[in-house]
Amino acid sequence: MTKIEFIKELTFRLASLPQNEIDKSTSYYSEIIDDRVEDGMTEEDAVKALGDMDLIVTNAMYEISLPVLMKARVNASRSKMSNKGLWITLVVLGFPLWFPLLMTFLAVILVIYVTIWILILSLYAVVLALGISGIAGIIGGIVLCFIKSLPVGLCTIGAALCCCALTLLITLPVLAFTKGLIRFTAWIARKIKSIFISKKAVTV
Amino acid sequence: MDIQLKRGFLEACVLAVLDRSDSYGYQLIKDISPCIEISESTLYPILKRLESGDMLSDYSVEHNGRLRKYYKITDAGREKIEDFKNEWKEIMSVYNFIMAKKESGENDKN
Repeated sequence: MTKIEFIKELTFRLASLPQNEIDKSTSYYSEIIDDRVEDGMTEEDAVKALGDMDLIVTNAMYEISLPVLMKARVNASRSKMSNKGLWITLVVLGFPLWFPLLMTFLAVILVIYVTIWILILSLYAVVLALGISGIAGIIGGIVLCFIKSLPVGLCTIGAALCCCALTLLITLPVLAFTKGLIRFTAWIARKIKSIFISKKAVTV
Repeated sequence: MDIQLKRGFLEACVLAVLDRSDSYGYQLIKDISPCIEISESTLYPILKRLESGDMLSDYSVEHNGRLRKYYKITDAGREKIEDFKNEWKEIMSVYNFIMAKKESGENDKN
C-alpha cells in the first residue's frame, strides 16, 4: 500500500468522525510515513510498519468523547443503509423503543457518576467536619476551662484532640480512595466507549 | 503487561523524553521503544490524551518541504512526571514487601 492509498483508506474508515479529528489523525500518520522513508525505508514498508488498520482506527477513536462517538456510530449505520427513506421511517417508528432505551442508558451512566462524586464529596465532608470540630473543640475547651470548670474544659479538649487525630488518620486514605475512584470512572468511560467502537482487539 | 499500567508507563515515558527536549512523533517512538514496546497507533491516543490534559503543547516546524509537528512539555506535564515518581516509590515498597516475604518464606523452608 502506498502512502496515498493508506491515507485514503484511513480517511474512509474515520469518515464518521468530525473533520478536524480526521485531519489530525491523517497528518500524524503521514508525517510518520515521511519520517520512516527519510530514515531509509521504502514507502511500502513504512506503511506496512504502521501495523493493522483496525488497530489504528480503534486507537484513533478511543480518545474521542462519547457523544461524538455515538453520533459517529449512528452516521455509520445510516450510511450503511442505502435507502434514506427507510432509515428515517425506521427511526420514527422505532422511536418509542429506542428513545426510552437511550434515556435509560444515559440515566444509568449519570447515576453511576453522581453516586461516585457524592461518595467522594461526603468523604471530604467527613474529613472537613472532623477537622473543624477538632479545632473548634480545642478553642472551646480552653474557654470552658475558665468560664465553667476545669474538668468540663479538659474533657472537651480531649474529645477535640480525638477529632484532630481522626482527621489526620483518615485524610491520606480518603485521598488514595478518591484517586482510585477517579481511575474507576476513567475505566468505566473506556468500557462504555468500547460499546461504540467495533469489537477489535486493542493492545493499549 | 496490564493495559492500564502500560498506558501509565507510556505517558510517563513520553513526558520524560519531552522533558529532555522537544520532539516529534517518529523520534518519540525511536527514543521510547528500546525501553518499552510502543507503536505509532499506540502513541497517537497517548499524545492526544496528554494534549487534552494540557500536559503538552505542539507547534509545527518546516522540514524538507513539509510540516513536522513538534511536542513540548508544559508545567502540568512536569508535575505529572513528579506524580509518577512519587507513585513509583509506593509501588517499589510494595514490590520489596512482596519479594521480602517470598524470600523469607523460602528461607523458612530451608
